[in-house]
Amino acid sequence: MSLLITANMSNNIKYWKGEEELNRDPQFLADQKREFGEALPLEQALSDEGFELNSNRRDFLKYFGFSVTAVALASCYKTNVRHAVPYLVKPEDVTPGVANYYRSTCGSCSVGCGVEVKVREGRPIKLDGSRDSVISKGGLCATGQASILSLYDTERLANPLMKNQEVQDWSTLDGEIKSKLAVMKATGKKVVLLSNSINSPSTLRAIASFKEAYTNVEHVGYDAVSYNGILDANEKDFGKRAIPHYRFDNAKAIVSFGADFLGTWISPVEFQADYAKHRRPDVEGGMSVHIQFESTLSMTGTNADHRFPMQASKELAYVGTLYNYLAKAKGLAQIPVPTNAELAGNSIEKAAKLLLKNAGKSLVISGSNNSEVQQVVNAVNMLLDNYSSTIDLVNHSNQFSGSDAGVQAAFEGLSKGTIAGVIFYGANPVFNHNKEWAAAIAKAKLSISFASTKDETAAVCQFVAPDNHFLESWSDAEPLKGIIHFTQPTIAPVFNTRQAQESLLNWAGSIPANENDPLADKGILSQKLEASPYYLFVRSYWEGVLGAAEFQKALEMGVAETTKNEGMVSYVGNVSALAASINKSSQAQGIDLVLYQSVGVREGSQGNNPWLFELPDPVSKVCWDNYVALPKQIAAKLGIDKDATVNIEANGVKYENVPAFVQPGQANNTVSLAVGFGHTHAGKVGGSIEKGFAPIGVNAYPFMNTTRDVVIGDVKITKGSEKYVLAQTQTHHSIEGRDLVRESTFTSWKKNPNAGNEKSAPHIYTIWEKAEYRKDGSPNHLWGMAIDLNACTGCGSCIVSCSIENNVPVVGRDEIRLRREMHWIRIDRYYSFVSEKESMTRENDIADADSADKGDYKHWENVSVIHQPMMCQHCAQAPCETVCPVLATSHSSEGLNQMTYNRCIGTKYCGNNCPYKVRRFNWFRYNDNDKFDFHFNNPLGKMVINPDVTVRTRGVMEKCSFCVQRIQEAKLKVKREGGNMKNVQVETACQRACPSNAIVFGDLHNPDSDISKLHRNERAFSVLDELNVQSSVKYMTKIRNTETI
Amino acid sequence: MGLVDKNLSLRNRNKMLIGVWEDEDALLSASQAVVDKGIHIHDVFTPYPVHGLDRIIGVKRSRLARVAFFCGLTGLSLMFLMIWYMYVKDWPVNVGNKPVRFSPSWIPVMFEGTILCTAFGMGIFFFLRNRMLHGIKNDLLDDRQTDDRMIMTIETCEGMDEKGLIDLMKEKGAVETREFHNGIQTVI
Amino acid sequence: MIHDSLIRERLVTGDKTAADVTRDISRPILNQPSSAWKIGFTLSLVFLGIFGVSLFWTVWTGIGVWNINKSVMWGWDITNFVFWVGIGHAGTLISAVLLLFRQKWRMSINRSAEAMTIFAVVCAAMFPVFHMGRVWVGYWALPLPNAFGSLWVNFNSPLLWDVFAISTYFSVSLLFWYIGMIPDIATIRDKVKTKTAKFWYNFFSMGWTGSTRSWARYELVSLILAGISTLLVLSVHTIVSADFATSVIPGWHTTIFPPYFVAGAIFSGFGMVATLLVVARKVMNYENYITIGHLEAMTKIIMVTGTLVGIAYLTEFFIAWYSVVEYEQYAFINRATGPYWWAYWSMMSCNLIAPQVFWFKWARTTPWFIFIMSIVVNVGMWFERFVIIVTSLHRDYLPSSWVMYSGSLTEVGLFLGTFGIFFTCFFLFAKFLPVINMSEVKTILRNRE
Repeated sequence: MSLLITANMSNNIKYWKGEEELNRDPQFLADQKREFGEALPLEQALSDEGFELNSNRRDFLKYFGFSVTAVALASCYKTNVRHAVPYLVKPEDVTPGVANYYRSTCGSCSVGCGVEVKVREGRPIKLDGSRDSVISKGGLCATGQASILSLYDTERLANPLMKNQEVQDWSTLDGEIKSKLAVMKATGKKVVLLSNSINSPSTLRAIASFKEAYTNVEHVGYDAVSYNGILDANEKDFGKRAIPHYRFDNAKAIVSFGADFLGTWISPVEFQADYAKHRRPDVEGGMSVHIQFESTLSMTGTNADHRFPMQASKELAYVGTLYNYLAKAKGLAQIPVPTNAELAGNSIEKAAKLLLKNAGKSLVISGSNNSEVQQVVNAVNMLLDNYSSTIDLVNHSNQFSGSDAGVQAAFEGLSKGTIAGVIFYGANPVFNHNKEWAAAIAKAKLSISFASTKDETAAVCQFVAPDNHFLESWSDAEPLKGIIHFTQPTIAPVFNTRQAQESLLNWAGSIPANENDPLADKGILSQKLEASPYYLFVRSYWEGVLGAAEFQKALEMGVAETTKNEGMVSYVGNVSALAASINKSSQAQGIDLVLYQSVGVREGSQGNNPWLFELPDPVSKVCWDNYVALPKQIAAKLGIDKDATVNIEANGVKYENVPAFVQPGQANNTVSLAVGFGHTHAGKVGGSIEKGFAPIGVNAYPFMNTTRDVVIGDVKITKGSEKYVLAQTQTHHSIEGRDLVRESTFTSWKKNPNAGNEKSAPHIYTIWEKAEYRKDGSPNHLWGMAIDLNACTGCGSCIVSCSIENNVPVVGRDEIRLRREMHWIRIDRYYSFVSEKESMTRENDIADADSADKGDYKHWENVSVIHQPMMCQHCAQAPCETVCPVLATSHSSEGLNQMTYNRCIGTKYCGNNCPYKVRRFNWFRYNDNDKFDFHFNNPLGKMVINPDVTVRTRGVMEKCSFCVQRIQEAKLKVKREGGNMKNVQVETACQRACPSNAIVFGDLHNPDSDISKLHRNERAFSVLDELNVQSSVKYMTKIRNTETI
Repeated sequence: MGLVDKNLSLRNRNKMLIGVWEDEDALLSASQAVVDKGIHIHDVFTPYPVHGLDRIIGVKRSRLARVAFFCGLTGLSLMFLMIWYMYVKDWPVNVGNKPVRFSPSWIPVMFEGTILCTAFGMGIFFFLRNRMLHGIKNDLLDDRQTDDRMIMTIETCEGMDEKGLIDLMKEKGAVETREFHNGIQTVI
Repeated sequence: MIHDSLIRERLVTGDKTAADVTRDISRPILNQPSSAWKIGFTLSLVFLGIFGVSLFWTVWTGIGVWNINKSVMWGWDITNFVFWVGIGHAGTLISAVLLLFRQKWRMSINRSAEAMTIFAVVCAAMFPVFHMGRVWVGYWALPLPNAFGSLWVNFNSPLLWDVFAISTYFSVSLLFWYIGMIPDIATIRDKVKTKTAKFWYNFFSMGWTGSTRSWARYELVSLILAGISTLLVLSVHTIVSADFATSVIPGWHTTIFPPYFVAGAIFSGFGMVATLLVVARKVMNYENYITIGHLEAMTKIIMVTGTLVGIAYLTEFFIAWYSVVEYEQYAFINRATGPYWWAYWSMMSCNLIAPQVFWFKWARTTPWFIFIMSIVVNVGMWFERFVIIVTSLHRDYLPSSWVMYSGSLTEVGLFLGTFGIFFTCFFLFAKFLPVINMSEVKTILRNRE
């Protein structure tokens, strides 16, 4: 039905699912109130066990008998009559109940991951990584996964705005803007088009033709979290202002200075996949070594083999020292500094040794936005001759190219009045640049925003020409030189919005003539979208480049390749000039503030997305807030333990009573705060001043100075007057010395593949027979899962994926404070505190160490971390099943621990008796409930619901089902199309999303399947084996490559 | 004989002699004396159980114990059958790989069922046998017989020395003697 | 063969005759309710109201209004359930077990004790019923064919055993209580004047005349009922303990639970009986029927059973240490030293240490002191259940799921509310039914051996 959503919508925000609703057909309205609005499609109803397409007489009799009985039964039970409403015009490519998949490009950030969009009855309901994309490589980050919800965001503008007034038709808006632009052109007034980094060739061409039409327009790109350091450094050192393509798949030794490359840095999905390649011990050539120098404990840091805390402002000194060690070894001139800065245990020297050993296949990176640091890093990589292998600057990355100077100039121009007009495209400087932007924009004669919601910047603009969501748009992207990704719409625009590029072309008067216009308003998706002028623009360009046939194929695959650059870049840099600033940096004093992106929220462009706020931070497990992460030393000085707040002041910006969080692993004299929070115009969820919803957290962007440096020196921290309880999904952080996660080192693994996993399975005395899963005599499937703790980085992409796939409700901050998050899969994170003597995993030991401590709290800085994804283990002898009085949870013939929602009476005994505590209870009704005003509470948000999964009612238990709906889908496919289940790959949502392929799922009764191999692997162990619950999930012992330096 | 104890009804009987006592020991010795004379005491109504009295006037031992036992057996087997039918025969379900056959986990339910049937089976028979029913008309001979008085009833028959019997009762400490015929009591 | 006892002091003092007994015991029934009764009754109605409100709020919004969470899914609710069931047990025990042992002193207290049982079980039943997420389909726990195909119930689940145990326990106790009360109802029937009263007492007396034949059967039935009730009471609390003992949670998975729970039940039950009787004998001036001797006997039992549960607590620790299972060991160390140490130690001091004062005659024979102690005992037993349930759940196997839990206002309201139910019933009982078993007491006026 939802296919019929068309662009010409009624002006009051009403999202009608079909003509019936528009005409308020009483039957439809009645249907709406029920769980299944319309009867289930015929295919599903009949695709029953033992259904063949070639039905003979016997089958006929079967169905006849079945239907008679069914009717008889149905008539015994009072139910209302339901009508399935057919399509008026059935699109040839849509079958009710069967999903279509389209390749496209993720638009949630400018990285440009190739995605696969799952569309059900015309509704995009899931995003997954495209396997043909060299960027996403089949995985997708949490942020990208969640971005599908911003398509169904009630905060989106339904119509363009003129001076905060909604206007129905675009022509009035266009007229106004055109005339204004014309006047400015005539009077030679400067207009700035301020955008985020754009790597879409067609968009750039659109902008170009706009600039042709209006010669007074200047295009400036900038990024909220800037990579100028790298860009400038490369410009200085190689004469090429670009970000290189980092090749972690070639790196055997990785040294990262505060770069969270697995979580947030440049292209994390790609980097995770490449990084994971070398993290498995059994990979040929052995494991890679990863050393992380950082001040705040980043997700990347938790995965490092060696992590050394460093004070952020001394970073330049430390990379300088690294350079000098290498130069010394190579007999080259060192940077002339009086003394080399070194970290505890000469870790930098060790790192240097390691890098030399791996010269040519090593990689040194830094997360700093300070070009000097990046210059030294370039020099280091040059010495190690990594530019041939692990760093590709020839075919560089286009993902980030913004210019801090440019945006600063634009800001000054506006405030001085030298710039008369400004157009914002994907840019929200009022939120993510400095505070005075609002005033500056007010001065402008013309201010236009393409924002699709009324964000901080749009709120102060004269015109808002709402852009389409990327799932409604035609576009393309060139994330890497020569690598093209295509974006195609998977739904007609939900609102009266228009693609920004189209608007630009329109204003430029260069909009392509629409050939097949007559079809445009037939409300038929395919033709309608083909009729979009920008499609013609994109097509005409790419047919020119690739050729018509190739273009269609590329569109289908979502990717294409164009010519790549040849040759080399030549290094012209000179680091000895940096001696002074290196020396200065080594003298750095006071407390630093480090601004970072949290893994879910990132730079904050999706300010109204509940999934991202509910996603616990991979390290701190805090949801729904940003907080000042304090090292134990400072916390002790301020007398802060938990539930406290601090006042923080830096760069003339002051926040009071910001939630404080004592973060193990936080380097002394550095505090951290995540950017991307504190929206004032995001909406109901993310906070909106005009609607009266409190912002979530504080906005950290104003702390940044004009150089957009993420490290801010000498901040003032004082204890806040208020208390604040952060919502955490995990509040106990030590593993208490329990055998829940097994670890070993690479060296001992090489000696003995059982290392760390020697503990043989406990001797079991049981009076029951072994569980057998057979169907009519022959062995049935036995579904199992394996999780590689070496590959899992803890990024939480699986959590969001699972929530989307299984309609897991969002419960909000207060419920999480009550420890009632609903996630079916969680990632347990355990710290072990490493002091000189031993590594402590028991809370008492840590408490003792604290009380014995003199105030340097070294054991708080040196923590080793492990991530363990935890979901229902589908135990063969499940404790939860035995205790349910009403058989609401029982075991399937395929070894699934299945939950029967409509049988559950909610005694919660199963939840109590689950040793893994993975069962989740519906404490309230989480849909259509104003107390939980998230996407489940409005008709638009509900469009993201997966129709294959029940939305649970209040009072029932729920838990991971191994994505049983996907298993069923696969089985039905095999039934319909023939073939063998052995060759069908069933993928759970978490597995599909995982960028590092840590999760494997499959049939344990198939001895050749990957899953069987993994379960036989020496590293495989099951958690709490001694309980003899016989879980179907096995974990691969974590192997750390620690004994290499 | 029938289920209901006919002796409990005082309707359509011959003339009855009634002795009233207020002292337990006197009553006991009196009834002993009467029985020794070879006279059958029909019944004695007391406000509380007077131990030994039943043996003196020759009340047979109740068989309710056996009834209870059989009710118990019935309950046990019913419960077993129920569980077997529901859990093994009709719809066996794999819960935590527990065997679908008799296992110790059946015992609690079977036990409770046994107790329930024993108690209520016996209770019902108790009421039947005692001719007890909600709101039934009671045959009170004296409105203090549930308070502190004890009433001895002797059904007269041909050639019974009623005079002598009355005297015996009087001498054995009966505070009052009466004659009861067709529902009318007359003090004598 | 019949002579007065020389060694025992009289069970009923004040040289009462049968007529006195009838008069004394039926006085509250025949007269207008005393002001004390009126005040007490109104108070209990207030608490009943609290129960109603909290229950409505819970059922209307969902049990999310309680503070139970993803790890501690049972909190105050099941704590209160076990607490009330435990209290109930003393009633059956006094009337049944002491009857089997021919303990004549029970006679003047068993009626109210049985009443207490029934009311306590009613209170207890509230919690397993309303702790369900979807109470409106709670009947699915009964072995009925249902609308989704005749899916039956799970006979492996202790919760199902509970369904059978609690319902059986309630109905059998009710029967026992009622049969025992028939002769007294008859007595009242022959005393009351008003028409309606006559009708109802006549209705329930079932035409009782006190025939020797009836008495013979009556005594036999009481004896047998006593016998099976004894088995029943043991089985019921064993099954309640199975709710925990059959699980895998460290601190629950213990074979010691059945005897330990039964002892605890007797302990708390006698505590509650003492509370009630100390008040009742004063308010209804039954000092001659419920004598200091009775109270003393009960305090002795309280002391013994208290010591029993105390030993059970210590045994648990020993077994945990002996098992060499780190989870078990941690569970118990955590009880005593973890975040809920206060609950553990209040349990210990109320249940094991406090009752030891009953070694002293003065403590055993001073009503007001016994009253205070009986309250202490019940507080202690509530904490025992809290400790078992919450401290075991809040830190089980995976430290990542360790949580803290504290009851919400609604949960507290429900708990207080059940006292409303209990006392409302009890006051009605005291007004309309003989609180002391007259017919039995009459048999011991002479204090025979």
